[in-house]
Amino acid sequence: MNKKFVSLVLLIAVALFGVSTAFAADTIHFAVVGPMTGDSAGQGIQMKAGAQLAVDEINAKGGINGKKLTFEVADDMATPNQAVIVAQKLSLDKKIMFVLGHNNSSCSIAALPMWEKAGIPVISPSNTNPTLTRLGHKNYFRVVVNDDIMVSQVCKLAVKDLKVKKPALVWENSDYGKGMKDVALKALPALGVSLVGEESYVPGVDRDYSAIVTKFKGLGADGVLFLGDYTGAALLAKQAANLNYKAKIVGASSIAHPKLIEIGGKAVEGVVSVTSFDPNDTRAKQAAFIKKYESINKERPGEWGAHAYDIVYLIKAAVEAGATDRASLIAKLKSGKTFDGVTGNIKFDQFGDVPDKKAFVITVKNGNFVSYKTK
Amino acid sequence: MESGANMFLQHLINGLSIGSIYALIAMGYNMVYGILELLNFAHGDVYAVGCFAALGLLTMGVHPALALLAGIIVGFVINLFVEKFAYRPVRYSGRVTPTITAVGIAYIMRNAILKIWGPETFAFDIGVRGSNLQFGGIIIGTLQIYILLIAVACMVGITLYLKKTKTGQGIIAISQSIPTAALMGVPVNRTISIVYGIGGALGVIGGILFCIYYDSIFIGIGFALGTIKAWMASIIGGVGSLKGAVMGAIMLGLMESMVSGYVSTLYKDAIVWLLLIAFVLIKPQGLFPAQVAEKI
Repeated sequence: MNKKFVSLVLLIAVALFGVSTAFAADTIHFAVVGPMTGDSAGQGIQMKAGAQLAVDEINAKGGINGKKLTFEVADDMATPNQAVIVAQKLSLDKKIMFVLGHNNSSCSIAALPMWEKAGIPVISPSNTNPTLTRLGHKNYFRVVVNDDIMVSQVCKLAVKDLKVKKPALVWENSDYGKGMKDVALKALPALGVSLVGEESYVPGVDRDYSAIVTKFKGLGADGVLFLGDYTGAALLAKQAANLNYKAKIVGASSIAHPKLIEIGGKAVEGVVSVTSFDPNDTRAKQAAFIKKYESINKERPGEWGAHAYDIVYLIKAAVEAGATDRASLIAKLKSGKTFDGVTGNIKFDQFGDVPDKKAFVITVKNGNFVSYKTK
Repeated sequence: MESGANMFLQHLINGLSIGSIYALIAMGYNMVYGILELLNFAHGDVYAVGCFAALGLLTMGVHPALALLAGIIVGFVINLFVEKFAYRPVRYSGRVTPTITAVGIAYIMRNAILKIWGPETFAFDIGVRGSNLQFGGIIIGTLQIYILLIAVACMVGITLYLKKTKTGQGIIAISQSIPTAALMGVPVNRTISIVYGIGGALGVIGGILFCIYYDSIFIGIGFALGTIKAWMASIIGGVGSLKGAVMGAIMLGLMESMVSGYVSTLYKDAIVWLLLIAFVLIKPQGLFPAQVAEKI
């Protein structure tokens, strides 16, 4: 009886195992890895939502070459050590064809060696630290323009369009913020202005910007370049308003999130940001995506949602072009083909960068992001 | 461009505002610290639960005054439970054990907040928006004045409570010697419970003012901006002294503001900690050590 029972259990186990591997072969599985909790959770949640929308659309039309798409979500909490832990765990999973992530440059820097060892392609929707694609990782791609390009545009926007004469700079103390600061320190003198002040803050910890505001006010800075997260930008804008400091606030991509307006309220009116996705884009393809995303998620997509959406379709194109596993996927992505997504044309160079992609400028008006016309 | 003197005064006012928020948080912390010599690592996370409870009620549409009051009560009640189940059983097991249970409580509270609200920053709007008073080029928010007044009022209120009521006298007796107080008929367990309750309630008041001042709430108000700042303030001001907690907190706020304003925001924390260490070496008792009658 006992023996029979054991063999029955074994039989069921074998059957189940057989079924599950057969099932795996019929699907393309990937992981979305980003901050699902923490001060930039809004960005991770958009990554998930963007990927979900693309997956649902593709599966509804029968999948990719008959294979359904599935994905799992992992939380790197926007901290490098957690990113490594996630990579350690997921890189053991043979089912995962690619990783959509990380959101934060510092997380990618920490976790990429782990992913590379497993041969897993990592495609980031939002890493912008310029050095990331120069570290020699063969498996890394990003669909966003790097900070060399992004921050150069922020500086140009501040000086040429907003006529800032005496800019001051606030940067978040992280790989991301420091990378941007270094670019700005080179770009501003080239535009003929010099910084009057430069301060930093610890993201996720510092809440008081009154000392920075008072200092900038005393220095007569007429524009603040904010190179950091949306929570910091919103609080700085509020405290600047409280202290009657009326400098223009200009930022790069990561402040262009709906939460900036939610936390900052009236104080963020007029804040201008360079972003790689314009949530008010009226072109047919973009408008259709924005409408669909907004109806499901009750907020418009920022660059995180849009990039995640594009990444899933980018993989679809690569698989349809013959990619079957991790290695051939990397080869296909490197083949120099152009993919036309909602965030623009994605064509990777030999480093995994998208040097030809265009950035947009948006501003907050009446509690919403609207397109900003640059000169 | 503003004059150097105006800028200095503005930094001074910014520092006073930050300091008076730290003061309310530090008072509750210092009461417990002073009486039981317990490094209460749970202080911040307990009052953070109270603040988040207030946020929850606010978003449900409860009147702000009621929501804030409920938050304060939550802080008071949680600390009663924490005292009863986490501290009382280990009260006489040396100083290390209760410190460890406090760390445990801190994690439980923090995880409860993570589970219910998550760790992102939320807007905290109770509809009170102070106006600005201008004196020359210097701006003082009315909110900043209210916060300072509330801190002073709480300090005076608690001082009177300690000096004028029987329970207050009991608290002082316990802080000098628990066995002696017990022999004199002070209900030790009940009195210590009250100290914890008041500590939690004061923490919530400070935490809520913090949230109102910065228009936002996030999990960091508990540990990073609560427990640690309160502890630093207590070290500067003097353990077990209310006046010390308030003065220490205000000094801490001023140090942070001046270092950020005149040295660097990048090295703010390092410099403030360095100053703290230097201070402890010079004046280990703090500015206003608790006055305890020497036994002869």
